Amino acid sequence: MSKTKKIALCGVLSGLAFALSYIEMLLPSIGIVGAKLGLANLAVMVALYIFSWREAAAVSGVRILLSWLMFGSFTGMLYSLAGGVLSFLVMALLKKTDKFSPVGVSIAGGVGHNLGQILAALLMLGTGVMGYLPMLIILGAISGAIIGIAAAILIKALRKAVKA
Amino acid sequence: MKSRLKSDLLLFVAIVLAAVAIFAIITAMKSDGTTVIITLNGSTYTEADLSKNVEIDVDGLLTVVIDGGEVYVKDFTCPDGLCERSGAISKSGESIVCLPCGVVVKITADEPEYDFIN
Amino acid sequence: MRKILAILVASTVLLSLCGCGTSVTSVNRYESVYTDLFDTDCTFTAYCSSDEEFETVSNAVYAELSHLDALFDIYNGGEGSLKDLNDNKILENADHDILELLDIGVLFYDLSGGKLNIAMGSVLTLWHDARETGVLPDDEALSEAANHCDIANLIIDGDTVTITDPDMSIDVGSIAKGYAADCAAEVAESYGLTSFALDLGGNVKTVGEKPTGKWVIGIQDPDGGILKTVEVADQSVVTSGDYERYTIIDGETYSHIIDPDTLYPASLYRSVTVICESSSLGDALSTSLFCMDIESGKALAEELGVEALWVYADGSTESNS
Repeated sequence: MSKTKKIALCGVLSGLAFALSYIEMLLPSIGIVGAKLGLANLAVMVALYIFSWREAAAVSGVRILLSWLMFGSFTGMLYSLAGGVLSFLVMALLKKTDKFSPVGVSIAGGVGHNLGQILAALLMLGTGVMGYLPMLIILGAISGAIIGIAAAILIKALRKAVKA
Repeated sequence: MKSRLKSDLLLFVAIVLAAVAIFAIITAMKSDGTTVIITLNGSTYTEADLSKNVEIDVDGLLTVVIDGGEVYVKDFTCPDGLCERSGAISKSGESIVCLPCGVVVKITADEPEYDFIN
Repeated sequence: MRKILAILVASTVLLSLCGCGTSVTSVNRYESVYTDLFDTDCTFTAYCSSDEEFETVSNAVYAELSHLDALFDIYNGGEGSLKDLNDNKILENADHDILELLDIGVLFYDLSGGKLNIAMGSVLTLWHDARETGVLPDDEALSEAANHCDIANLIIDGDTVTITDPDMSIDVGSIAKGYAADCAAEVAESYGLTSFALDLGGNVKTVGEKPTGKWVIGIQDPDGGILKTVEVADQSVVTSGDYERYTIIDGETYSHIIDPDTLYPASLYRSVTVICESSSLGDALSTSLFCMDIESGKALAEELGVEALWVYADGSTESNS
């Protein structure tokens, strides 16, 4: 793939990630603090599989930065940064082992995202937030699975398109 | 491909088991609480007795209501209002968190830091 | 991934163990809250060796408090109560608790230079109505009522109490809780308790220490949170604050402590806290100091040898120690 094409695709993915964060913000909340569907992870997953961890990190970073600038507060950004970083690390590592399908990687990413958020909350607000941990782990796994299935389909289609 | 699906499944099961284990530990730690601790941005804002019915205004951000051994949040000013929808808590170890406001309402069974507040 | 999860679980267990690190003692902390007395929440906290022991003492304490509440009640009290005295201007064979409380009131009228006056029921009733109705008392009504507040018209002769001004009435709201806490503490002590405390809404009396040390009392910051903590044993900590009971009329806050000279709520301070052994003294003195200027207040606190803390509207404080 040419460098230009790659940069263009990364741009598209970042834009997609940003748009997905926005859509997620519009969706009604699930009703538990820190629980998010993590739609933007879809774009990060695609970048991770079509390109490499570097591009995925860029997409994820740009998404967090843009969301912060556009409609976030600083503390909100810290939470999403903690979630984003941990989620990305877990996904990149798991993909490297080559033992999991995109669905498995995305599950771990979803859990990682919620764990990151709760760790940030733990640091900023104290141990009172621990009670939410189990529910957030389960929700992260479920939303991760859904995103993973969607990502798997998208990756397949995109790979064909990129080759063509 | 099959082995990957198998490890996906294993991963999912491991995660669920871990969550259940943590849940079990937290539940086992729960007991009848005595004290409600309200922290604002990580430091203690005030403490209150779980057995006394009061309404506490936390810095104009939200109101913590203690009523009949239950604690809940109302009149929040944050945009999402999750703190109110998380309902009432009553056991030691339980908490209500409002991320945007930086407020945590926690019940403990420890002896209160203050015996009385005048 | 499994390893990471295992570490997570282990740290959760560790965290939980830290939370349970309190030592095992042979006595337990018990607490009763009585919600129907003295127009406030009263809490009796004690360290006892058994549920039965605490329940027995708690019942006795409640009985004593409820007896005193009924005696001192000027709105719903029955025969022999202060309502009886106010209605009929005479009380024969008065209960010794009434006689003692009135004595304290008369004593503090002198000590405070008239700033604490239990004979200004006529004025306080107008403000009580204002808190109920949300309408400020009429100035004329206030000054008319103020003509019937001369404590010299309260005559105590043996166990007969008379009020010689037909328009005068007694209101002991400013001293009753402190006296009641002292009485209830005596009851608890008679059952052999050595470590307990009574909190009658801003009026804390402690006896002995907790097994873990002194009792810790937080003094409220009127704008929220805790301003200061005091650690005491065998002492009373009594606070008179404008945030305890107040009403808001036309955006202005009116507290329940009325200055006998202005006939309006005293507003020199947000609160005054007194620390001394007797809760009766503490209650009477904190109300007095709330209406007195800082110099004469400090002088009075010195004279009585008690510690006091004044909290101003801007959150600054002053103390005499």
